[in-house]
Amino acid sequence: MSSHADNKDRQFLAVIGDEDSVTGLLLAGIGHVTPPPDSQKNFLVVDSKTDTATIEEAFQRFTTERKDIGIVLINQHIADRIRHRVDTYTAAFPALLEIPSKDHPYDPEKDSVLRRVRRLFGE
Amino acid sequence: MSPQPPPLQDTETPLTIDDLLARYLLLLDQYTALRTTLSAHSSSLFLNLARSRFSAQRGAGAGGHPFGPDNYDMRMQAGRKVRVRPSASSAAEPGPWTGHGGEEGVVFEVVSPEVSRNSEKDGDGQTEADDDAGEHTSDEQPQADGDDIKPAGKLPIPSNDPLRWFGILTPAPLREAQKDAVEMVEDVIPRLASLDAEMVAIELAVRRARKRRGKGEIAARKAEVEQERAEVIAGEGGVAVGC
Repeated sequence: MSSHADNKDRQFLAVIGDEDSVTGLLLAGIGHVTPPPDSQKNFLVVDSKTDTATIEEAFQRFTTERKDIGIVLINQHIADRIRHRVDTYTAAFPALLEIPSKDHPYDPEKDSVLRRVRRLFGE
Repeated sequence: MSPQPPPLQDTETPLTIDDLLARYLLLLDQYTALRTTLSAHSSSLFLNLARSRFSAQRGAGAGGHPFGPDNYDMRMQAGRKVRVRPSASSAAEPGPWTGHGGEEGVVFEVVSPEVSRNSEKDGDGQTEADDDAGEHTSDEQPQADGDDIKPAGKLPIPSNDPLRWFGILTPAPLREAQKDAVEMVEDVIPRLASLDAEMVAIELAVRRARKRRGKGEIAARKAEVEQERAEVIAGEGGVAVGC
């Protein structure tokens, strides 16, 4: 388990979502681009042309490689595309939350937290 | 409003599985309630974004603001940041999203740098966030309005208010969308993350307790069998002596 000192550096939210979700969350001021030459963004806009490998790569980057991310937000319908990765993600940091999108309302059946609840109660 | 679960005791006696599950169910109740709140804010956000696009297209003809990735300022700096603190420090204010006093319990907060700087300086835990992102200044940057203030050899300082990416005269629905987003980011999302962290901790505790109980049951059964065997042997011995 990582120490509290390590977690202090986890100061950004990251988002993997469709255009409206990302635009909305960036309006709240969570967007961050690191200085060049890296210029790493903490968001990925996913559209119909975005392939699953790109989403997986962003998920990997936000959850494993970058140590400055505290919370990762991902649209539930996009999480469905990498469900195996999302459901097997067990690290405490960054926290992972599935959020609804414009065209795909929140579905409790797919929520990884509620899946865990069902497992705990032996369903 | 759902009732606030009492914080778990941090005593030496281990909590029973029933205690843990009772707390878990209360957390689950809060989680589902917060999920409903998040969905409501999201719907409002998406509706306001659609309204702002509509009004911009009417006002500016075919070349209206799309309010999308093309307008993002790629020099953006986070105006709201995550703060992770151990839940033990929040013992004075036990809430639905505080941990149970163990080392693994954490609380997520999202604060603007202004708030975080004040609370660090004062140490008085000031948490009132300013909803208007336009008034925030970043830790790393001087006030964006002062055009004459420039760091040596750097690009001009971008405005810290994302609304300005979309022009000076932004439609009212876009400002409403921003309010929804701020509420989600500052309030609902960190609480959901904290609840999730605590639920994970309780799941682990329940599994450990179940394992312990299972081991205890096996040991008790073994002891029972041994006792029965001893009684049988003793009985056989008594019969042999009687003969």
